[in-house]
Amino acid sequence: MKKLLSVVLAGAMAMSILAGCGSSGGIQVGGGSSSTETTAAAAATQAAGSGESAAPAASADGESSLKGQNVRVVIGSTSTSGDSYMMADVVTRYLSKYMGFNGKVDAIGNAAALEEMQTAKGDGKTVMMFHDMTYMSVLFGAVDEKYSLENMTIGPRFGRNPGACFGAAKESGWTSLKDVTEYLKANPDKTVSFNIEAGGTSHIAFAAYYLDVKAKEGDEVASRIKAIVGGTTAEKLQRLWDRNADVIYGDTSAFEQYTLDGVEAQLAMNMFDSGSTVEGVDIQSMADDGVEFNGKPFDFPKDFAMYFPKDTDANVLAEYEAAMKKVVNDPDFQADMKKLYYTVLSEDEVGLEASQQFILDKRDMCAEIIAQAPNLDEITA
Amino acid sequence: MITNILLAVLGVIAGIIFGAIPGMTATMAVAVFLPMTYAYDLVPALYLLLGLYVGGISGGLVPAILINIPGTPSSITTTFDGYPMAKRGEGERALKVGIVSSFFGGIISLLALALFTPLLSAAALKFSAVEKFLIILFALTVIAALSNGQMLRGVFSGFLGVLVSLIGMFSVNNNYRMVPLSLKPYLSDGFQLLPVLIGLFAISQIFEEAEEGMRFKIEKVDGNNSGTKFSMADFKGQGVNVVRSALIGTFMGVLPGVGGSAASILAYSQAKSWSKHPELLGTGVAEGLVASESSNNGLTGGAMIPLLSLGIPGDSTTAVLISAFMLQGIQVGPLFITQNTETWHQILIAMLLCNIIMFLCMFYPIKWISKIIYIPRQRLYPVIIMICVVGAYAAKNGRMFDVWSLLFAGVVGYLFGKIRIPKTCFLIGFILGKDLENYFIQAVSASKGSLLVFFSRPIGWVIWVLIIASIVYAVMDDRKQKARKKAEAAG
Repeated sequence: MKKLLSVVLAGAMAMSILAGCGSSGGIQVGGGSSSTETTAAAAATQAAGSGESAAPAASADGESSLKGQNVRVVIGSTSTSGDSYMMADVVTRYLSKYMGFNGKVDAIGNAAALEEMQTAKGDGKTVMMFHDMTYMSVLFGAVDEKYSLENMTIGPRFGRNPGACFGAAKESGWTSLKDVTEYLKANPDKTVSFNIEAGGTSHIAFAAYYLDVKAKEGDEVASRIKAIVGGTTAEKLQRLWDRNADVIYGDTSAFEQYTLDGVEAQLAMNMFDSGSTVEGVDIQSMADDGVEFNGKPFDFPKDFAMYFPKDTDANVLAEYEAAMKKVVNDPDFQADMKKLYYTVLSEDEVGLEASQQFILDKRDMCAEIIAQAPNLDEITA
Repeated sequence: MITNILLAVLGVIAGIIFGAIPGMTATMAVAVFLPMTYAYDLVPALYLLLGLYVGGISGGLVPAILINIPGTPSSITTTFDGYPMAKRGEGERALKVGIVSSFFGGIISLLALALFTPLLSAAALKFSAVEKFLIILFALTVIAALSNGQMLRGVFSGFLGVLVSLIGMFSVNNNYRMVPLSLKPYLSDGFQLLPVLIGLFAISQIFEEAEEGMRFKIEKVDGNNSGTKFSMADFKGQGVNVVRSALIGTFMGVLPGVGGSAASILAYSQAKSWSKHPELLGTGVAEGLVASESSNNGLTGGAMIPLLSLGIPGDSTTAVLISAFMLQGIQVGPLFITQNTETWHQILIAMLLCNIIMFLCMFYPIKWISKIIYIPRQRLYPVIIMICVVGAYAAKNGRMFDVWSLLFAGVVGYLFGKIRIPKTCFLIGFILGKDLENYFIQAVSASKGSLLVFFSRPIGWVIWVLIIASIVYAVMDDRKQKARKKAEAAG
C-alpha cells in the first residue's frame, strides 16, 4: 500500500509540474520540451502554422551560440489570442529553426515584461517582443522612466499589424472620420464619443484625429470630440451596441463580421480609417482620409520589435539580426504572416541599425503627438 | 466520427485532470491544447476543445469535496457542503451528487443553447453595464447569507475582498492604486485570483492543521464507507433546484464578461433563499452541492451563446476557444449559425457527447478517486503544497510573485481563522470586486455621472427587487441563527 501511495503521489507531482509548465499560452517550441503535451502542441503548431509546406522542424537545426538553449520570449500582453501573442509565436518558431534554440512565449503583460528587461542577463536568453506600447507606456506615464528605451537594447523589428481601425454603428451613416467631423460641424449642439484605451495605440490614433480636427476646423469643433476610456474589444463593442459610445477603435478582423449584410441593426457597424493600409481588406486608412500630423499624412500601424536588456552581448544581437533576415525571406514565414493579415518586413527593415533608428524616430513622433494631445481628464465624456 | 469521439474522450479526461489540480483551470486546459488543434479541421478540434472545457469545469468538484480546495474558481461553493459531507464519511456520495448535478447542469444548458440561442443572445444585448452591475451586486448579497450569524464580520470581510481586488492599475487613467512602488511591475493587474483562492483555502488549512499537529495514522473519517450511500433519492425534491441553478449558470454564461464563479455563488445563494431548511446549507447537504455543480456546468452552454451568436466570448475559456475558430478562418458572430449550419450542429453533438463522457469518466471510477482521503496527511500535504505552488506559478505564465502571493494569502487565511473573519466572504468580494467596479464605471460614465441610471430601466427594477429581498431575507435569517445559538447556549 505504501509503495502504491508513493507512486500515486509521485505521479500527481509529475502531472502538476507538466501541466504547470505548459499552462496558458506557454508553448514550448523546438526540442527539449518538458512536457509531452507541449511538445505535441508545438509540433502541431508548426505543422499547421506553415500550411502545406515544410514547417520548422521540432528539433531545432539552426546554428548560433544559443543552440540547444532555452530562450524565454516575454510579451507585453497577457492575452494569448491577440496580435502580440500570435506574431511573437510565429517569429519565435522560425527563430528557433534558424538559431537552434528552444523558444517559449510567455504572455506576462507590459509592466512585468519591462521589468524582465531590467533584471534579465544580456545573454540573449530573455527577449521581449512587443509593439509600440513598449515605449508609449513610458511616454504616457503608465510606467516608470527607468523602463525607457535608453535602458534597453532595441533589437530587430519583425513585423507590423496595420489592421486597427475605427468603427461606428451603421445607423449613424458614418463611413469615415471625415463624416464624423462633418456631423460635428453640422450639429453644433452634439458631441461624439470615442472609446479608446489610455496609453494604447488607440490613444495615439485618437489624439492624431483630434489634433487634425483642431488644426483644420478649430477648437470649438474639436472640443466636442469626447473620449471614453478603457475596455477590451468585447467591452467596446458592447458600448457601441448599447449606444454608450459613438465610435470605437479595434482590430479590423474583430469588426469585419458586423459590417456584413444580414447583421441585425443593433449590431451592424461600419469600419473606417485604419491606422495604415491593410492588404485584402476594403478600408481606407487615416492617411487616405486626409488625417495629418505636422502637415504630413498620419500613418500609424503597430510596429513590432525585439527588445533586450541594456548590456546585451553584441554578438548575440548580431546572431538575432542575421537569423531575422533569414526568417523574413522564408516563404513559409511570409505565408503565415499574411494569413493573419500581418505585414512582412524586408531584409533591410529588420536590420539592427535600421530597426533602432525606426523605433527611435517613431517614439519621437509619438512624443510630439502626446505633447500636443488633449488631456484625457478634460475631454472624457 | 471515431476520431472525434476519441478526441472528445481525451479532452474530457485531460480537462478533468486540469480541473482537479488546484490552480489549473478549464481555460488553461484549452489554452495548452489549442496549438495541438492547428493540425485538425475545425470539427475534430472542437470535439477536443469542448471536451477539455466540460471536463475542466467538472473536475474542480473532486478536490473541493475531498480536501476542501476548490479545483477551479467556479467550484468554490462546492466546498461549502461537499467537504462537510466528505468529513462525515460521505465523500463518495457527495462526489456522485456533484457529478450527476454537473451532468444535469450541462444538459440543461445544452438544451438552452440548442433551442433558445437567438432569444438568449437578444436578451444578453438588453443587459447593459447597468444590469450587469446590478447582477453582480445581487450575487454579492450572498455574503450576508454565508455569514452564519456573524453578519457584521461577513460584510466587513466581503468589502475587504472588494477593496483588495481593486489593487493594481486603474485602466481609465493608468494610475496605480494601493500598490507599493517596488511591486508596480507585478501588481499592474492586481493579485491573481488563483493564488489568492488556493492560498486562502489550501495553504491556510495546512497551516491550521500543522498547528494542531499531524496525526500519523489514517483518519477514521473516510471517503465512502461510514456515511449514507448515494442514490437517486438524493435528488428527491431537488428538481426545481437543479433546473433553477442550471438556468442561473446558463444565463450568467450568456452575459459576456460576468465570471463563472459569480454563477455558482448566485445559484448557491438562491438555493439557500428558497430552501425549506436554509440553516442546513453549509453543513453538508446535497441541496447546496446540487446548486453549485448544476450552475457551474450550466455555464458551459450559456457561455457558448454569445460566442456563437454575437462573436463575444461569455467567459475566459470561450475567449480562448475563439482563437480555434479564428485559426480555421471562421468568424463567429451574428451570421455564424446561418452560414455554418453543419458546424453548428456538430457543436451541439460535441457538447452532448462531452457531457455524457464526463459523466461516465467520473461517475464510475469515483470509488477509487474518493480514496484520496485515505492518504495520510503527512504524505498528502507536501504534494498538495507542491501542486499549489506549481498552479500559482503557472497562473500568469511563470511568475514567482504569484507563489509569494499564494503563501501570503495562506497566512492571511490562517490569521482570519484566528480572529474569526469568514474567509469565504472575503473571497467572494475579491472575485466579484473588479466586475462590480468595471460595470459601475461603465454605467456611470455612459450616463454622464448620473446615478439615476441604475433606476431607469425595468430590468433594473426587477433586479433591485431581488437584491432587496435577498438582503431582507439574509438579515432575518441572521437574527434567527443568532437567536438559535443563544437558545442552544442557554439550553
